[in-house]
Amino acid sequence: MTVEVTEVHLFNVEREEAQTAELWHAITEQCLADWEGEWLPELFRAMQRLRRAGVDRAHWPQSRHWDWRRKVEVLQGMLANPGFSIVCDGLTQGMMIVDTVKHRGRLDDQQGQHLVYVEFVENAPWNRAELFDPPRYRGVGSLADDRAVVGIERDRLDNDDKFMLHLSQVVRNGLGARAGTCIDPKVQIVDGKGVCVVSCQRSPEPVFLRWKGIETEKDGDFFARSGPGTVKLSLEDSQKYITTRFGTERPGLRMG
Amino acid sequence: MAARRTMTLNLTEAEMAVLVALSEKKEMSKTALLRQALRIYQVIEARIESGDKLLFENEATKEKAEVMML
Repeated sequence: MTVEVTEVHLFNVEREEAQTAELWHAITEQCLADWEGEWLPELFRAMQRLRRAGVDRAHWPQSRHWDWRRKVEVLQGMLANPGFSIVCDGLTQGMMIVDTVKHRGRLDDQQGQHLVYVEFVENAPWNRAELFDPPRYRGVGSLADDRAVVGIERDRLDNDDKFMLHLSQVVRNGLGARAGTCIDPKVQIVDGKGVCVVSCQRSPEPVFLRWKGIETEKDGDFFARSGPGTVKLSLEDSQKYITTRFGTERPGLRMG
Repeated sequence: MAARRTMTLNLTEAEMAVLVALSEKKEMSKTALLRQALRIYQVIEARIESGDKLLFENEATKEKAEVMML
């Protein structure tokens, strides 16, 4: 069997850095062996800890009774139920089975349309923050969700050029014309659907977000990366950050 | 990318019209629509082989009609 493999990235919590991983478009025998030989023993130990700590059974992992081998055997060969797995450091870090036939959209603008329904998704026990502190990898669930590709066709613009023009205009509206020159959108085909990949260059100057009047500062809000997340800096914090990072003063700020 | 094979599909005008209409209605390419049809056909066959019936139910009247798969 030929298995499609895509390079992806997980966040290694201990090293605080991204780590290359593989998204396998299948659940292989290796995955099932990892589940039986690595996941289950860890899961049992984690449940033992929860029990000894007096945690109610209602809060134990729901997937503790799942039998992935049985699920894969039953759905083997069914085109409607493809499986996916994420492999990193030679070990399976997550598995997912979706259904592409039995569920339809219910939102007004998706009424009756096909959708990808996640039937089963499970993270390796050591990646679950509720079982292991700290977890080993973050991002497994998000990668699994990303397999549900709907394509830019859902935005209902006439063609790819119009989609990219619209995207560029949205970026200019929110971040300004100069910041708009730092992004480079391209359309690629994934699973037969158009997906817009946006490459960003680092801006040589600070960039402020003004979006539909919800910004808290007149000249826009300033965001900075902090670990795996992004935080909005206060007016004074942003000034200090901008002075250190760019050697300029934040526009609109007049300190004492 | 998983190995893909190409085939030529001969359709009548009427069949092609249905394919075009459905692919527009479902906002899918013709290839994606045929793939989806194959998935659904396989699910129906598997369920019927395991002894299930294919029924349509009118949500309002609760009237059920069995679809005979020949």
